[in-house]
Amino acid sequence: MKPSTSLPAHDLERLSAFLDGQLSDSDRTVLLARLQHEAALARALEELRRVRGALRALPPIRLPRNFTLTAEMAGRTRPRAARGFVFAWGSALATLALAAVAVTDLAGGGLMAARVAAPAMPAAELQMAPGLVPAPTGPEPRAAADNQADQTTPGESAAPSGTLAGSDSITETAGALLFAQEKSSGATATPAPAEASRLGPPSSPMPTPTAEGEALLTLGGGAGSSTPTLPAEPPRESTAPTAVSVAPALISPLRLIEAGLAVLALALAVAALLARRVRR
Amino acid sequence: MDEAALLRDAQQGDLDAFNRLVLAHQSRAYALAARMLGDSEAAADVTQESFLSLYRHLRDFRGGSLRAYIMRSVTNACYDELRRRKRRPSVSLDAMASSDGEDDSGRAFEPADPGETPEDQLARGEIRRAIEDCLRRLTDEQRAVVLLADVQAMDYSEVAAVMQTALGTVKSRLARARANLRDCLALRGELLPEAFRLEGEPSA
Repeated sequence: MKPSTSLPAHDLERLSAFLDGQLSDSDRTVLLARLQHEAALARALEELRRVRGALRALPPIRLPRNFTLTAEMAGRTRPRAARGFVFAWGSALATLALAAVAVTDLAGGGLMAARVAAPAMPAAELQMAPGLVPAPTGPEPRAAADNQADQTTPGESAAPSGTLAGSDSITETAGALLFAQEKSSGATATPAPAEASRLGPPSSPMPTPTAEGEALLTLGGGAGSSTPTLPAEPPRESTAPTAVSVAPALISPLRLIEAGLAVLALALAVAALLARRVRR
Repeated sequence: MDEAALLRDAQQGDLDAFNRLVLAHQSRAYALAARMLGDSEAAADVTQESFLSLYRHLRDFRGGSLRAYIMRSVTNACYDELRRRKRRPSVSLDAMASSDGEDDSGRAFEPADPGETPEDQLARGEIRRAIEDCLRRLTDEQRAVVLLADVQAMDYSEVAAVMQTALGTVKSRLARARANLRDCLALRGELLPEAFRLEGEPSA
């Protein structure tokens, strides 16, 4: 027997539509005439009829529960949709604001840095003045100060090498440093030589004698050195507080705003995604 | 109260009226989803979501057949679900079969004969399993059209409205689906009772 699927598609469609009473009168007449003479067509019709009967005889499926909506379900549909909408737009606006602030920051970055650095100077000066009075208490702070000093100004970084070169160089370097200190600290630098010469020896003991340490020992001992070269120490200390006092000012308010906006945009985007997922 | 009046009230925010519409259509909606998906839990989720979506968009409904509107929502949700998970059904439809006689359409699904012997009941179960297995072998579109036209007894124009397709497409899909089912059931002919046994075997 021919399987019904091997019948021409138009015959299958006509038989199927005939079963459902969906054929036009003319098509129906033609099909009825063919069914009288074509046994395969008549058998296929009977098979399709049985298939349809079997489908209609399928038992109903038991409902697991009712699908009526509670007032809560009905009530939360719109607010949730609105909430997701608000989150999504809030995220978009926060992102736009972040972009605007970032552009402003980039455009005015140099200007801002200059503004931030300028007011830091007086603060550095204020912290530098007491720095002249107390003596360094140990080798580590001084070593750290030395490192800072080495990185701050070329004039100061030349000091250690100058001390190694000879006493003339030491005198010149110390003089230059003194000049720099006088320039930056004004009247407060005046007693420095006396103070420094008094404080020189205590500051000199170093656990491991370095080139710089040796130079300081030489200076502190005052052997053959009449010039007040010891104030080389205070400027080194004065540069360290300057750097420390400027560092916090580098976190500009714009950066804080940018970070805040980025966090806000991210949080709102996540909230919008969650709201959408819950709605599904 | 008739459906039009309930719909009008529901569109004005009357939740009770809407729930009465749900009660009138939930059996059909769930049965369609269950046979489309072959998974009771997913079918329940899809049905619930479809009614929730209907409630949200009830004001957009501009007349026509509410049944077709609901079935379209369920069918589309089933397509989405089938696309999402291309896996075998985890729960057999056997577990969902009911011995109740009628669905909410009022059309009898051949209620079980009280005098039916255990052999007859067994045979009935075999037929159901064979048909459901063959339904699962159809394409999604063929399965939808045969469930709507034959199981839910919708006419062609209503099926076309549900599937948002032309009447001619419904005719050809339905004919192809029935023919495929016929071939599938013929392969299982020996398992079926004589009344449902199809003559001859399809050639390979």
